[in-house]
Amino acid sequence: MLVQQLFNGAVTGASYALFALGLTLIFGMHRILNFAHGAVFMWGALIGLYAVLYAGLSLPLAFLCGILGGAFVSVMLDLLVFRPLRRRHGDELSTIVASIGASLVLLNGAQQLTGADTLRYPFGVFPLAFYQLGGVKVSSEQIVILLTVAVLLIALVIYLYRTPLGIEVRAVSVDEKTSTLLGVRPGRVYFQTFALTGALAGAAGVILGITFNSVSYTMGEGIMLQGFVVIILGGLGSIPGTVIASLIIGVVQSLTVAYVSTELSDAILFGILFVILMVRPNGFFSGLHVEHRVA
Amino acid sequence: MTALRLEHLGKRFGGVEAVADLCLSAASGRITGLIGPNGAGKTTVVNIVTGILAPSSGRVLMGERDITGLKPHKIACAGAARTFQNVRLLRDATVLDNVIVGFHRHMETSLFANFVGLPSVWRERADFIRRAHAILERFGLSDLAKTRAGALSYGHQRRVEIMRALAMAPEFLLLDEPVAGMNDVEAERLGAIVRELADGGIGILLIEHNMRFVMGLCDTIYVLDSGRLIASGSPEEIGSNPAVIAAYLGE
Amino acid sequence: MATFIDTYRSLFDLICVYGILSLAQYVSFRGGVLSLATPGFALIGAYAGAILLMKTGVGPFVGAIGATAAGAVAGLILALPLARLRGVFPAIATIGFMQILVSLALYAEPITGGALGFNGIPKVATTPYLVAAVALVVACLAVVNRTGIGRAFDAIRQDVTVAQALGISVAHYSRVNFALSGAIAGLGGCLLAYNTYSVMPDEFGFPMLVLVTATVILGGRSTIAGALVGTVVLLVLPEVARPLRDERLLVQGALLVLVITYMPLGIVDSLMERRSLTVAARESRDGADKASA
Repeated sequence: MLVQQLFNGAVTGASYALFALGLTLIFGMHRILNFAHGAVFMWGALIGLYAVLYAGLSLPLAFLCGILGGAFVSVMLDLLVFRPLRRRHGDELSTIVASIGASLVLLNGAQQLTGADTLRYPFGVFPLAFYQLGGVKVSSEQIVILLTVAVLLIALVIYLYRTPLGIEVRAVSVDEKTSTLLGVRPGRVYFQTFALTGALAGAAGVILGITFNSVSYTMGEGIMLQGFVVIILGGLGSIPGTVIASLIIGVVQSLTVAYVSTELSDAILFGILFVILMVRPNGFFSGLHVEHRVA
Repeated sequence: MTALRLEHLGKRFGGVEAVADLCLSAASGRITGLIGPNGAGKTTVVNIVTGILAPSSGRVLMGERDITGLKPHKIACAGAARTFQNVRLLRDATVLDNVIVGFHRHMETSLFANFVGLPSVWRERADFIRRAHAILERFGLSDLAKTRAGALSYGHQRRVEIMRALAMAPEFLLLDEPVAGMNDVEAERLGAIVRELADGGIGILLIEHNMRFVMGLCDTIYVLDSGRLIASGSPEEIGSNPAVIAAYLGE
Repeated sequence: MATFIDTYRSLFDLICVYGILSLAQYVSFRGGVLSLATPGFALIGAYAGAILLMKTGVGPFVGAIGATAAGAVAGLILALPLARLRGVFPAIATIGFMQILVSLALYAEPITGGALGFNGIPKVATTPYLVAAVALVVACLAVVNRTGIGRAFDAIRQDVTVAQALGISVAHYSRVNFALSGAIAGLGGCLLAYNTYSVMPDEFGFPMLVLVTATVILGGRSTIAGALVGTVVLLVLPEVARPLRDERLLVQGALLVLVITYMPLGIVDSLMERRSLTVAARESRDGADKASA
């Protein structure tokens, strides 16, 4: 029973990682705490679901639609919201406020589309089979999810560390001014990071939409909160930290729901957040120098 | 009397010694210069003296008081004022308010009194405003009292920053490259102001890159190179010191 | 005026209550604290006020004072981990704080009534009392802004390093800031409970956070009037333009994005800036001539 809960939590946590990586990368590279990332996630889930429901696409194609949709929404967010703000040298507060505003607009759009309903995938859209692995029941769905997350993570790391485009992205994250002088075009870099992180959020949206078989316009809110805990625990900007922290949070959540109470799971999650902020405000896997503490 | 004394000050970053065994004293009423080529460790000294960094070894004394490793605001309260390499004013506040905020360490009213607005608070406020106006007048900037600080010219901003430091009525004033970005005329005018402050009894430590300015103004000069003191003495002694010349020419 | 208030009394009441909550948020921003804890403090104030009034039998005045004190204490406690944090960290942590309180309110059913909350609270906070409360908070903030506390807040907001170099303890004034903001939000939450007959956990989540942030951003972050003007605009707008009512989120969201980008000082501050700039330009022209002479 305990091992089963651990495993289920880890699978959910793996999907959180896709979401939280976007949050942490955008902050680490561009100093933007993107409150609209949850709305991007929600739109990815919605587009994936609509692709199945109304376009009759197969699940892999719908997944692709969700990814592309997430990337599109995310890029639009940068072009229409963050870029004008950058031109005017907005500070941290203004990017937070603008992204909250943008997320309301995105939420409103989804609400118009879906109403207050929670939408579900048609029964049997995912062929389920169960396997016993050393006392743990593993579903075919979980296997596919784990594989998908692993492939996406590897692709992300290869992109960031092995391609010339990725090198530009990392250069801008270290020093935007200098890299501009060296011929890197920041506009293109922002386009890439937002497309990339949006795609990951879209993927997470479709996966979690299927996992819980529920898609609604409010689904971005909850994962945003979990995302915050993950990126603080993992250290803002650190890729391995975020992945490990996501797994931990997924497991903790699964355990509290199973053994403590559903209502308290949020309280426990954020209790952890406070403890981390008091003990190690940089998180446990700090990948960046973040100046945030004063005497 | 010494306003500031550094005793065997050292600071290591990992394996790198940014400052090693630095001894220095800045007398009250005197202008003491600390110069050195880029990367000599001047900024590290500034950060240690103002409490932003804690030293790896050695002590920082203000008068007889040990201020080593105190938090920046405690050091400021103890009577050390500073200016910044790139002028830092409260850009959205008026010139007058920028000076008034300098009186913070002289606030005597309690937090509670400030919350409910007891008469003592208003008396204090009126007093600060009066004294701020007096400082503005002394610097010939009374007409700019209501101007937003961010809208001032660079030279005026420098002066406002010094006025703010003066409002603190410090025993010791640290000037961090005060003439950076100024032409000779402006620098000379600023030099006269600094001399006047020193004559008023404040001990001044001048961190500077501009040799000419330092030579013309300081009473005593310390020369830092690669974190070590290579010379100290009067401007004449420094000007003819072969080690100093080598350090600057080798730059 | 009297007939207007009669017709729109409930809207007017709401403006008063949210005006106070917005002022609590304004205090945070003014003091350079990127805290979003207002809904959390308001929740504490609302439940404290409701419990004091309905379960202990004290009067509404004592209840409101108790709620204000509870908010202040919550602020002080929250400041322990947060007063030293800068940047986006307080924002994240305070959203967590809000979420913890909402889920605790849902969980502690015997005390809080769970998801259904408190009902049947007598409507003791009528319009005159609300107006008096707004006046009290405004007066208090007007004093604070003019004295040493306001000066310290201004310095910290504009440049933390400079503030420290002037002897201002950033951690100390952040604690003061959290306590003040908490007290005001506690009072606002209590008045919400005393005015609307009920308290429910859901009232204190993201929608309230968005509203109080939006009012301060829209009105302007550095003046008291800004927060109040923002509240009036955001609450009256959906009433005068009916179609906007169903698109409340869209309107609030778009306003937030546009204002923070193109009018970052907000309505009131922008107007004041424009006026003071023309005055200052004249003065500095004269002044510069004399000063350089």
